[in-house]
Amino acid sequence: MKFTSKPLVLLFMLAFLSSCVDNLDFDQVDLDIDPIFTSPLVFLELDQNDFFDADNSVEITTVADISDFTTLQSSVVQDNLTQAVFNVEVENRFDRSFLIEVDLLDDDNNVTYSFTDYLITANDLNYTATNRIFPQSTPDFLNSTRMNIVLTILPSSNQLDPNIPKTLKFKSAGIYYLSF
Amino acid sequence: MKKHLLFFILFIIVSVSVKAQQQIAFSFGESPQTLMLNPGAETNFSRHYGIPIFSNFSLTLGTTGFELADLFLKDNRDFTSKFRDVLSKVNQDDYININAKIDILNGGYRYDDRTYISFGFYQEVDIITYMPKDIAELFYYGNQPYLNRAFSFSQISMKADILGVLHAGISRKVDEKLNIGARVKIYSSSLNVESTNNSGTLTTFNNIENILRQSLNNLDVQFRTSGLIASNDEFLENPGDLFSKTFLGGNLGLGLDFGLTYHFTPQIEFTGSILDFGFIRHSKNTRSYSAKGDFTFDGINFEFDPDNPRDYWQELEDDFDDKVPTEETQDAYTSWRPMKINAALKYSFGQVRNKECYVNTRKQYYYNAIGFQVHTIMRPLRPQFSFTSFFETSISEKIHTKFTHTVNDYSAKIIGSGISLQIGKVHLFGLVDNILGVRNIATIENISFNFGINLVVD
Repeated sequence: MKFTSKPLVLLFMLAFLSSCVDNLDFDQVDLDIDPIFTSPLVFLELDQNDFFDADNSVEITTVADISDFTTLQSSVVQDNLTQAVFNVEVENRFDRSFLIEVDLLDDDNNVTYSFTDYLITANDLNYTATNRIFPQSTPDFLNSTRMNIVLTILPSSNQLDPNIPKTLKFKSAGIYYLSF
Repeated sequence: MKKHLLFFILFIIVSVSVKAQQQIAFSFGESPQTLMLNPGAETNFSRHYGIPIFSNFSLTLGTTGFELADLFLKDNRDFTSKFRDVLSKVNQDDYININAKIDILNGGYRYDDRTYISFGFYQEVDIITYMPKDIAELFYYGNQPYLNRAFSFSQISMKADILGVLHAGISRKVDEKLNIGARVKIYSSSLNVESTNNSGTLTTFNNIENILRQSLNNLDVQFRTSGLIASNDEFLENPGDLFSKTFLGGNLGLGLDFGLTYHFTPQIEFTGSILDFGFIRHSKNTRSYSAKGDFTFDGINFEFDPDNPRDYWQELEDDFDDKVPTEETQDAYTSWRPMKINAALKYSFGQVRNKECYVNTRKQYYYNAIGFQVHTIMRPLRPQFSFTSFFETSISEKIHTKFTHTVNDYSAKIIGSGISLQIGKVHLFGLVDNILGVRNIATIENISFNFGINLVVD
């Protein structure tokens, strides 16, 4: 029996090449990547002492605080954010209503986005609100680098008593819809 | 951007390794390349010269958990849907395995009646990456759909190497029953990327303090690279440079192979080997990244204290850096080679032939043999094991064939075959593992080829 190497090599090459891949299409890669990330944002808990001066004699109607918030400055967010959702939950054990204003600011403290003012009625223990922001229609939103919250206790015939414990709890979370 | 992200996800998801690509060649035929799988293999020639580049080439591609067709079949299905299906069906034990090995130089000569010396140089690309399903789904879907799910970083386990191996081995006949051998290897790694033994989880869940809490628990993640980033912080730009450094120009290491052949009787033969018992010391162009710690995030707690204004965000960043320190170093490190263990038991029978060997001795050969062999390769998560039963038959004194059935991580129905023939001084061998899949690579999870041409002087 006489063998030559050529048929063997051809056999293997044929097997290798014909094995293939003619039923595959590697050009079809068109992947939609649309992750949704969520994270906690600001939370706070105030009691009636926070609405009095140091002597507990004069009622303070408005308190405010501010923090940097640079999540939106990430290049991934800047380039791919399609929608953001701001979820709020409030538990108000005061016999007074509150107005909560939440604003986003840029580096120069210009307002870039104002959420709807949240009006929390007295003793509302299950207040919830959701805001949706679409950066395409509110481009200044992506310039936000700070978050400012102002709480105003609304006038009422019910006076605050610093000796009776009352609390206001504010919770928030953000949801970020990305699309690559 | 989208494609880059896809490949990044695939890279993370997938893992590669040098599987058992050559095991069906183990203890087969009278190829001088058998010495590369068992330095204690018997040799019956006085010299051999490998044809440069062609003396031994092997390629193994393997995936578990999905097939190429799941993603790339021409079926008019939306690619995103197919990708999601694949992501859904794989688990963290699945992996992608790629290994290619090519002989650049190979030769050998008989030192005396009992001793055969062989040497050479080959290049190898070896990648294994397990499927970090949790991390892939976290990147792909985000954490919002998976509240309360602990995304595990321990699923990140991968290793990729490009290296050259300069080697010299000796096979020595101890007596009529026993032949032993060993091989020394000098590794020259031009690229190593590895991330193993990671731990930690990331969980987002509802909480009392705030609507959500994010918790990073027991994080301990490390990536080590060498050859990927130069000392001037430039990424490797020309992949061709990787192969030029494989001849003693990369990070060096040392390894040993051991092997033996033992004849219980003239018809019953045991062969065994341990390959790549060695390490590489990476000290050039190394870059390692690590993060370790625990962190719980409830959000920013506004305290409304105008007398003590706080920089909450900076405090948060400082707290995170303090509790989860990250580190980038250029420290040297040691990487172990994936050790392989082979063993085969063979029973020969049938027509007997006598072969004149390199000296004035004759040796008896049987035309047929059956047996089984096992192959194990040490991998980052766990050893990969395969079991092969085989039948060998010789068509003539110069033509030998082998047929195998292998059970491994990929499949329980891998049929392989090989042929070894000598025409004059030219010795050729070729083996295909998973012959049933050769006709349609798209639908198989594993396939390997191995062939080579050598000149043999009896």
